[in-house]
Amino acid sequence: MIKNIRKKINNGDLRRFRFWLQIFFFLLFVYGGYLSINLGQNIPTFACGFNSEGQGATCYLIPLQHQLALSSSTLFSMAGIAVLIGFSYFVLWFLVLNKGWCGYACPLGTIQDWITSLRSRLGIPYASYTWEQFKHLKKIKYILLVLMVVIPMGIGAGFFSHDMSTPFCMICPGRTLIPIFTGDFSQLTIDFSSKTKMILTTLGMLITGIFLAGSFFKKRFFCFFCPMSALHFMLSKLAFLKLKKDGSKCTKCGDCYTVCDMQIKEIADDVESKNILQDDCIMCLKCVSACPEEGALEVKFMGIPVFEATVEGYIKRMEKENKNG
Amino acid sequence: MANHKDEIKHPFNLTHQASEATRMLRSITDDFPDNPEAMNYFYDLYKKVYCEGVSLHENKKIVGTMCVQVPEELIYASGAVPVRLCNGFYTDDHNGADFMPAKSCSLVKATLGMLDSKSTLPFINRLDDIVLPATCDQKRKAGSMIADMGYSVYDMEVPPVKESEEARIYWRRSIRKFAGELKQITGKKLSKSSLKEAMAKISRAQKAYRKLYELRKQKNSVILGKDVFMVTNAYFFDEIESWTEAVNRLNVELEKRVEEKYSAAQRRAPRLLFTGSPAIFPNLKIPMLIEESGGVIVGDETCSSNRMLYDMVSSDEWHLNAMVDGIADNYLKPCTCPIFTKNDDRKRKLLHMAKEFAAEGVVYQSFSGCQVYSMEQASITKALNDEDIPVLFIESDYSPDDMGQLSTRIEAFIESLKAKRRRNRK
Amino acid sequence: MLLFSKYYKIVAIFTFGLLLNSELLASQTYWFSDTPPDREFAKKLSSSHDGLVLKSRRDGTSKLLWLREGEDPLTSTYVKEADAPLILLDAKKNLKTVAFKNKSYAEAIFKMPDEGFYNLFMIKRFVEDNTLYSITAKKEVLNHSCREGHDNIKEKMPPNAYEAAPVDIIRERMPRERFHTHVTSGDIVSYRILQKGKPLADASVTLVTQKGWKKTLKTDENGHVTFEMIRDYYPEWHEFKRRTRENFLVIVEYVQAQSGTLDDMTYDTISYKATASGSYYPSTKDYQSYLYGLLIGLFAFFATFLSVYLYRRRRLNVYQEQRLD
Ligand code: SF4
Ligand code: SF4
Ligand code: SF4
Ligand code: SF4
Repeated sequence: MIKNIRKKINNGDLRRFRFWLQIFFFLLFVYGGYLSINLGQNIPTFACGFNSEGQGATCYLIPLQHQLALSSSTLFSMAGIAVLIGFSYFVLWFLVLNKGWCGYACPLGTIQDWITSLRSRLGIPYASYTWEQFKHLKKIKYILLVLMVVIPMGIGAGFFSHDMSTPFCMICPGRTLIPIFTGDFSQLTIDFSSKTKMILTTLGMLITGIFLAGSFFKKRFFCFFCPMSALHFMLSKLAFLKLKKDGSKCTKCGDCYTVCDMQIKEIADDVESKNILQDDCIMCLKCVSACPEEGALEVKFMGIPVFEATVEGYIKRMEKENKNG
Repeated sequence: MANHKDEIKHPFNLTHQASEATRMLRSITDDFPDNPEAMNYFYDLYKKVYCEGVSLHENKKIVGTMCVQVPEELIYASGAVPVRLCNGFYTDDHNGADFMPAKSCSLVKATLGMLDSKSTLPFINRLDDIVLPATCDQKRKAGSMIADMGYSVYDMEVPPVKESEEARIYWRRSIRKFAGELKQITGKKLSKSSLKEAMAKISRAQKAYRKLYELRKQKNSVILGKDVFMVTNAYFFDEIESWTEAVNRLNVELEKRVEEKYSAAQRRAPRLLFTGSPAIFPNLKIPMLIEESGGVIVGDETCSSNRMLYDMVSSDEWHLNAMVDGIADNYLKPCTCPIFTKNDDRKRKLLHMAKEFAAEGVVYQSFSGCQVYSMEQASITKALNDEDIPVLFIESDYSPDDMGQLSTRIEAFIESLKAKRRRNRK
Repeated sequence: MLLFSKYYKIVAIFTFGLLLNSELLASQTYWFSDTPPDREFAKKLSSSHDGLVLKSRRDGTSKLLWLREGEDPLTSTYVKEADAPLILLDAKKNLKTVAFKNKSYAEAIFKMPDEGFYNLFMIKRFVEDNTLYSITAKKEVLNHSCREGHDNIKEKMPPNAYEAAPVDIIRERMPRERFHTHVTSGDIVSYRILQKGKPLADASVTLVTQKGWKKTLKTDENGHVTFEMIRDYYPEWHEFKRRTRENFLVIVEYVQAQSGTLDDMTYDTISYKATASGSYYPSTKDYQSYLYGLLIGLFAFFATFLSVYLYRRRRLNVYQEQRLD
């Protein structure tokens, strides 16, 4: 029985499954509010809080930046406990899906995937970074994470003006783009009310433009720079969902690397690590579905295998691919 | 087109090669009982091609390949047919001795001999191009000699280190350049659809091969190693679609054997892996000796068989760039050829196969003169011995002279495996 | 300045026939303001989403309101002493009485333990010259802290009416209004005027902005009246402050022929006067620009696009020999 179910899953069409699950989460996070869905404000993915009408949950980065900007006296009073509780909720949510939040649930990630499939349909080849570029670019997300913590704390301590509040949100393409889906264009403006606001909103719009063009050419363009991804990685060792590799079964054929949106080399080349999740990984599991080696890559939930690379599944999926255009 | 041999032409069936092939084929079919029905396709194929000299791939451009690293997808996509030129004839080896020092690799010498021979296989006469990946020293140096015979030779650069990112870039570039070369030869530009179709064609063949591969994991060996070598060896030159069909037919028959609990070897036959220098028809000397001595080859790690067919290519998007890069990576990264600097992948592969196939021992063939396989031997043996898997290292060439001595060694090895098994049972 | 307290006592003691300068009282306009009378005091308060609040470890968040007199928000004076009854309709719709504290000024203070809207009413009635003067001052205050999260906001949004109030001025919610929404200049604000819980038609309603701009309209049969907040903030660009909070007043006047007695005094007319104060901010339109936003976004988009295009062109030239398509 269980064996059969496992086989079904391993033979499944991950691409389609993912497509629909992404749509489901998109609807949930972007339009859920209309159905009075509210999963709270500690969601470990970009369920943007600026989408005030439709949000079915709120991205944790908003409360995080707000909370860090509280004055230290408030932060060390009772409010501090509320902050910790908020963080624990964030961690709990995160532990369930690990970075799978990125591959399956993040509305901004989904938007990028849609842009990618548009490009692919137009027959334009995707871009990739050279290894040198990759190594430098991947640091940006940590820099952003640090700024995202330091600036709000600076506000709390009175070094920066409140116009700097939620600094990352100001430059996040989620803020400008996700509300558009509920007909709210108000984030697409430049704010001239103060110099700080003007600079931040201008940056925001610049990044939005770069985001749209960038993700047209580069798969998951923004995810390389996403501080949420950096935050995730710090906790990923604790998560329930795990991406495992059995190096002894891997032939280094590179199929997994070829399909990886995030150009993660280790997925193919590293035959030592058991836990193969890298900081850039979005846990889309495309690698698992593209791996032709029985059990070389495997997804486990609390130690229980849920999806595994198999020859049979690989061939099934390949045949399907070959049939469709 | 090599037209320097137009002057005299023996019909191929009258050559020494044809009689060598006939002898070998007879012993392959007749020395063993109960060959699978579906093997007849392959026996007939060899008979037609190597004994009767029937031509193949009429009206098609033919691109000869000298090593396993040449991406056949690209060749099919440009409308040509790849034919692997690695040769196993002792007669050709003999003739090839004119080109190379006596202590060189039989395979290279035999290939040179075949290409130089006045009356070679008909479709060899029609080669439009020969692609020579710069792998081992002997192949590398063979290139200019072949060119001197009047063939058009394309040297394909292969990085000596395969782990580095530079190697990946270098190789991808080399493959793209090769795609350009193919366009020159066939006049046909690579297109998305033709490449995708070629990839599908090869992946169907690989799927059939993988099935066969899986069937060999059965506790009861349903097919002998010598037959599998015949199957994979036929992939060198056969028309790919009929090859695939034939393998599928064979698989069906073998599945039936599984159900019937039929065993092609003795029930207690020690299960062996074959690795090292490739076994190529008609030089199936060692596999035959093994299986005649009561062992059974359940898997192999050689470039004439598993290494050639095992790794399958994926592509995320079906654009030329993505596909070609994916193909490139797939021909370099998993390649366990000993010409690369490191051999960790080969060790890992062998250890994993030993586990998968429940192999009790490994036979490691190295052609005398093949430096790289001989040099890797010690480290591979050690890695396997550490896992308690005995290795028999055999240095040999195409000449039949060492048959007696080899058969003693092989028999002794198989006996020792049986003894070991008895010990373990106690 | 004349004070209720005194009046009340006088009225109570000399029940009959005393000459009082009551025109002054009846003709004055009283309203609640949350701007403290002295600046020093303001420093002890913290800002919240709806004006200044007092935060203390013991009592949590409390709101302070001061009674002011005058029709012009900017020039109204602070009443020094008052002891009219105060009724608080809290966020959970419970009624409570509150008393003025007359320190140096008449101030009302109440705790806000729950999230939501609090309404404070001052209701005063007295008879003079055969007229019953019914005077109501109302202030609606929002208590919200982002730290508590943004759950169940929708349920807490609708205004609460105080049925027993002689006149209740209810600000209807704007479309898409949330806790973080402010009234801004240019917004349409609409009010529903209730008399003892029933719509009051044909009452005259005056809106007075901080700078003294006035407009008077009559309620329709449903008690509705709708104003557009005008813009009256025109600083130099560099002095512009997005957070400029200005007060406005809504004054309802209505005279009804009805006879009766109050405290043994007969009357034949009732004159109602009710106020509600609110605050508004500059409109985002005054400082946000879609045009610039769009231009900058498009610029970034095309610049990225172009650079990728040029990069690919250049690369093709260099790698000419390996061009695929
Ligand atoms: S702007 Fe970005 S970081 Fe901020 S809430 Fe929205 S999605 Fe999250
Ligand atoms: S890394 Fe990508 S998918 Fe993950 S939260 Fe950030 S934007 Fe979303
Ligand atoms: S696809 Fe599988 S076998 Fe190939 S490199 Fe990746 S993990 Fe290894
Ligand atoms: S490593 Fe695998 S799961 Fe992670 S991003 Fe790449 S393809 Fe997706």
